[in-house]
Amino acid sequence: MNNLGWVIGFSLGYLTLLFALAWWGERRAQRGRSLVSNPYVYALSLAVYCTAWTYYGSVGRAANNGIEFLTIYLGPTLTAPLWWIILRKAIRICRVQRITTLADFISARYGQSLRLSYLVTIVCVLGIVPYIALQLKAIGSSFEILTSSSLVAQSAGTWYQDSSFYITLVLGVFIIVFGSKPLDVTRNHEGMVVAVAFESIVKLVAFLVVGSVITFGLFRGFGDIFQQAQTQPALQRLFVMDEEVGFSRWFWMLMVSMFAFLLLPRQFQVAVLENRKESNLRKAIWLFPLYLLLINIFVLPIAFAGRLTFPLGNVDADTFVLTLPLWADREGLALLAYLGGFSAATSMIIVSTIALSRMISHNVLVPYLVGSKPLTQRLGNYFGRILIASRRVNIILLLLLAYLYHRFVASSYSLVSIGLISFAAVAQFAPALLGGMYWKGGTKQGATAGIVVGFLIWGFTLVLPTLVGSGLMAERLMEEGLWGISILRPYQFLGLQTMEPLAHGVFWSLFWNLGAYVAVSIFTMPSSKEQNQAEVFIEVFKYSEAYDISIGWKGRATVDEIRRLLEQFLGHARSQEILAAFAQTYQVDWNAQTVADARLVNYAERMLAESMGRASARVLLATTLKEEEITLEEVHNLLRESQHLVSVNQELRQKSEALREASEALQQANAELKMLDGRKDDFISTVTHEMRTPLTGIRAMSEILADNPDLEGEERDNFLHTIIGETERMNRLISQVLDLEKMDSGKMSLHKTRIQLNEVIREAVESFIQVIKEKEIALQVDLQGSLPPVVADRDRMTQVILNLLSNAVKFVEPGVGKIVITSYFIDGEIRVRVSDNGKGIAPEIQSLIFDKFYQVENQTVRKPIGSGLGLAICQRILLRHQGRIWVESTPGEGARFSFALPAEPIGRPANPTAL
Amino acid sequence: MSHPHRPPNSPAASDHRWQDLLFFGPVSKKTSNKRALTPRLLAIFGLLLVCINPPLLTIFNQAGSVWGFPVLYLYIFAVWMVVIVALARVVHKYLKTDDRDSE
Repeated sequence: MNNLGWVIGFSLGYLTLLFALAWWGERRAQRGRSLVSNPYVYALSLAVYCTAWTYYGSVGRAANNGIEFLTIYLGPTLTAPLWWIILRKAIRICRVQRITTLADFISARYGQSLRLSYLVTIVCVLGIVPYIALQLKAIGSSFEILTSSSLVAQSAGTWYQDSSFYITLVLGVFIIVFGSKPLDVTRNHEGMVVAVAFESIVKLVAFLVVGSVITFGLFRGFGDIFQQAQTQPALQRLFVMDEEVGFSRWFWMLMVSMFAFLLLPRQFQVAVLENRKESNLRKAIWLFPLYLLLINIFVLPIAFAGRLTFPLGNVDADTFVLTLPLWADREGLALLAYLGGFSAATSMIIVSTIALSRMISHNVLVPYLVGSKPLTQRLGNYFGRILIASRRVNIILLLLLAYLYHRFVASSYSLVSIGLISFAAVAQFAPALLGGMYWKGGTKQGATAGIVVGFLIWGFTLVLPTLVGSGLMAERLMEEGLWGISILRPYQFLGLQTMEPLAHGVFWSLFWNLGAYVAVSIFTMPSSKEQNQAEVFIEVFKYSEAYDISIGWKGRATVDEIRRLLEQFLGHARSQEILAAFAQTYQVDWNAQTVADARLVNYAERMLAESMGRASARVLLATTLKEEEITLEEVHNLLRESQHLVSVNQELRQKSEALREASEALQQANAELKMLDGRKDDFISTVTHEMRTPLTGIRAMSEILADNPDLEGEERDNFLHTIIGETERMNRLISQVLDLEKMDSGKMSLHKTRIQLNEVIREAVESFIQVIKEKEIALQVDLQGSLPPVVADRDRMTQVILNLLSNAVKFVEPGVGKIVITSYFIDGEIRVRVSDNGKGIAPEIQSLIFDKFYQVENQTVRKPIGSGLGLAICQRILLRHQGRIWVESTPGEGARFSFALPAEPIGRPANPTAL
Repeated sequence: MSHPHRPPNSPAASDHRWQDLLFFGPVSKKTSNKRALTPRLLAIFGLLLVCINPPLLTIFNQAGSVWGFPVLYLYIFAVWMVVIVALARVVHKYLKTDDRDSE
């Protein structure tokens, strides 16, 4: 089969697609619609962690060592709960301090130490180059397998016949165009992150598709593969771990991958430096572990499937993902698998080389260049170009270095071993970096000592053996030790013989690293600058608001000097922009101010740091401006002062807010009181008016009676009856007003007993029968038999029914009027309905007629006879009985008043206590 | 009639606290804040650390299979999944999206 054209076409096509995506991402960001602030993009970009190593190497590892490969993914999962604590702090520190690289971070913490920044850069380059080589190797061998006729990778001939050489070149050019923009205004690489997030989707989908086809297509599911594997003793061994060696390896691999996840330059780049929103961690904390879980589900099945399919062991287990589809003659699937691996490798190479090339320029090259004043002045105007050119050269150099490593050293090692050695290298930053974030006592000397010692032991116990293995060093070293000293054997350092090589190397390097960091830190005094930085780093959440005002600088400089400096390195337009922004934020008038204060110097430093790295910016300012050392005391005072100002401000804001709220509440209460007062007035005036009407009648008739003692008997009786009627009406009104008052103030007492509502209704109707007959109204009583009893105050219930009946009587026309009273049991409550065929109630006032205030307010409209307080009283009575009352009415056709009372549950005796 | 007041450390009250700790109980609005998040995250970290390391791991380090899967493999993936669910629940319960960002 000859797939050469296809494979090359696909690879180039894929790279073009990436480029387009990156360009698009960059464009969107410029228009302010950044994709990177999306939490899903952030979580996916973290998956740059899964490289070709995951893609091919995990399977290889699983095929030989069983489930141990999982540690590499369980490690990051283990850190996930800590992201909110550690990563968020790192993100905040980087934002406040405008940190652009991992080396910046460590050196900034220890007082902008240049030496530390060189050291970190060197360790990173030496540790990561093999890892990049690994990716090149993966791309190269997958390319070979797909294009050759054999399933076994051929060793390449001379370099010009080696496909990975050309791949390296193509990638180099691609990354240069892709990643090193003209002097970046910001420290973010939006396009890169978007592309990486996309690649994460590609590799996951590819791996899942390939995995499920192998598991369910070539085999009959998980169970089938595992069952077949169990029948072979060589594979059955992989189901369990070796108790002695396996567990210690397991533990140390977990540790090392935990640190690697946080400290690998590419991880630091995407997780910390490219983070736009701290709240994106919220989703990433669980999405990323989920991603890792998904990408690992098929690893073991593929590994077993490979071992079962190629029992002779002549096919490299690292290539099973590709060779299995090829073996089954599924070339499309193989191409997809290749694409997944390609995307995994390129994403790692892109982010790593960009991060490393930045580190080299920002932390080594530029500080060196700006370190000498004459050189700075001569280079000044070309500075931007030099910076970009250096980044480009760095990328090519890094890739070439990786290629050389791949050709001369790596070929004899499997993917995972090299990867783990890289992990162990970056783990050496753990004490200095994590310690620096939480322990104020850590000093520059301590950090330097720790990293140097750890790095040396790492090189001796982990790297040296690989050189021996590839024939670059004498074999003797391994057996006899350095200079023939037996405790200096790389795999049995200091006589420790029980640990297997990786665990051994990680343990010793971290042990001495941490020991040196702590011990040296304790015995050295930090400089004031270090203490200042320690304070700002560790208390970042306390100071992050105040930092702009705080001062880490003391000296003399003029505004003109700062302006010249900015123009020289950032260009005229950008420096104008920066100064204008500063003037606006702090209300500064540049014409009036000639001496640059610490704020301006700090601001300028941070702006310079964004494009050239923090260490460089520091060196630049130190050489061009006259600087004085600032004491810790001054720093503390300033920080405290600004912090105090911030908190006082906040307190004031809070207090005035509370005051505003209180006065609003008062105003509202006042308005309510006023309204209630008005209603009360209305009520009283209505009631007095109501009283005066009968009173006037009584008085007039009594006067007539008094003035005419000789009035005829019949007439006299008539007058007396009217007087009695009017007094009764007054009496009723007064008792109703009193009733209402009692109910509203909660003084009404109820004498609840078990009663039958039907009886109450019948009694009420009987007492009314006379009135009804007089008015010639038709009355229909329709009561449901055997109603459950209710617990209620009998007299009050009578009052309610009488009120409703009298209401109905008032509203119907004599002669044609009809009143129907019904009782029934429904939904656990007893309902009584009184309907009439009177003039009805307009819909807009139906909900208001139970309101005593409403009634009196609208006296003239509503009420022809009586006090109008009856319905209000009914409603209050029912409320006290946990019941309700309502009305349905169509104007012109009559009204239906209903009330409902909860029925007494069956079997429970009444409780006759007065409430 | 007064409502029965529970003493603060009655069994029912501590049940609720346990549910909170195990991330499956209903959490009242008043307790959802960022302060409550850190101890819970640390608890998940500790639990996971213990669960995927010896000596607990040795219990499941045995040949044989459950539902066709090797025991150890199944155990680790199960723990992994539980941790993801727990993390999602805790983080979404105690962190609201409107948390202030400095950018």
